Amino acid sequence: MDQQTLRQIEIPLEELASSTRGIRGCLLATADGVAVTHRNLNDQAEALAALSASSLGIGRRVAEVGGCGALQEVCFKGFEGWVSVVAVGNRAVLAAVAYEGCSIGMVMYYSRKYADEILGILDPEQARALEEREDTRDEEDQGSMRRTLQALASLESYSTSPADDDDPLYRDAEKHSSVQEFAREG
Amino acid sequence: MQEYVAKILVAGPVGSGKSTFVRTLSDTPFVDTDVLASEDIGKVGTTVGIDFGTMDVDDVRILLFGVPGQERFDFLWEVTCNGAHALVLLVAADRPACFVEAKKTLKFLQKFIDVPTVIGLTRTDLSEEWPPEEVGIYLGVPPDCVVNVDARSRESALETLRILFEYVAPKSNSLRSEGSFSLV
Repeated sequence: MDQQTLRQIEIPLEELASSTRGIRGCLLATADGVAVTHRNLNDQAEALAALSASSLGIGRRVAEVGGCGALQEVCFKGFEGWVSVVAVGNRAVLAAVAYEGCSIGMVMYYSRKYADEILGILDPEQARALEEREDTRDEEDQGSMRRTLQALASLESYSTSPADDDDPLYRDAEKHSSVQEFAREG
Repeated sequence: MQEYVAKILVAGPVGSGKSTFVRTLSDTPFVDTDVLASEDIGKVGTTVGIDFGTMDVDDVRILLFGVPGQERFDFLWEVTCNGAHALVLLVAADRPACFVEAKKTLKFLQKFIDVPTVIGLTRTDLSEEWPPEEVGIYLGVPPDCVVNVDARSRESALETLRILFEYVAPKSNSLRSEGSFSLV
């Protein structure tokens, strides 16, 4: 990694370190566990780099073998704090060490956000490819949401339309409500 | 259903063929934790977690655990060697510079486990300068516990295990080799 890239990476790392109060320190390491740069971790950085890479490597297989698909993140909870590890594409890992009382959702959110930013610096091509994949996933989500809404809307139109004995859906709804009344009357 | 379980740890310096060894022998889908290597180690990927494979020999199920070679992953050596019944230490014959590292790894592991150990000298097709006996002397193990192995070939890898169980284990001083197969 050349000096210029390294300087560029310092920016998102600094932003992550100061993004939310819960974060005690953070670290960027290569995917094979060599510390690149860190904030406030000092002696722990080298060891945490290797451990983060391992945990992500193992986590990836755990998610896969467990049938959970591609791994998004690994999160460790101790009695005195948290460590979250997210992948920076296939190039690096980003670890955040957080205090016990932190809002871990915020820590994870910012970790993910800055991991994406760092990938944009390290490997723009891969970042774009991942983003596109994310977009299609979003579109799929939106598509299914639209279908659900349409289905709901059509259901509502049934309930407001005049009674139609030939309509099975309406008949069922009718039956259902009479059953409920029956139950209430005891 | 196999009656006994034997856990074998596969260790050694980077690029000595540990993952290949486990993959070659495994009967079940091989689990690896390969990632892009950031250092120039002569290959694209490197293990950061564990490699895992299993194989059945008669009534023994052999569990093969491969660990990363880099010293910064020594916490994994410590965790994974726990409960191992035997150790296969692979050393690349064409990289004598790695012998030092191999010796360090062996010394580290011997602090935690005292088990039958076989040294597999890999990549001997690339260099024949280092005969097994001399590597054995350097690593401080009996020269006859060092064998040439081609990690890519199933026969060769099986031969290493055969030597481990039929030759090294019976004459090993450690009592663990005696009871190892009756565990679990």
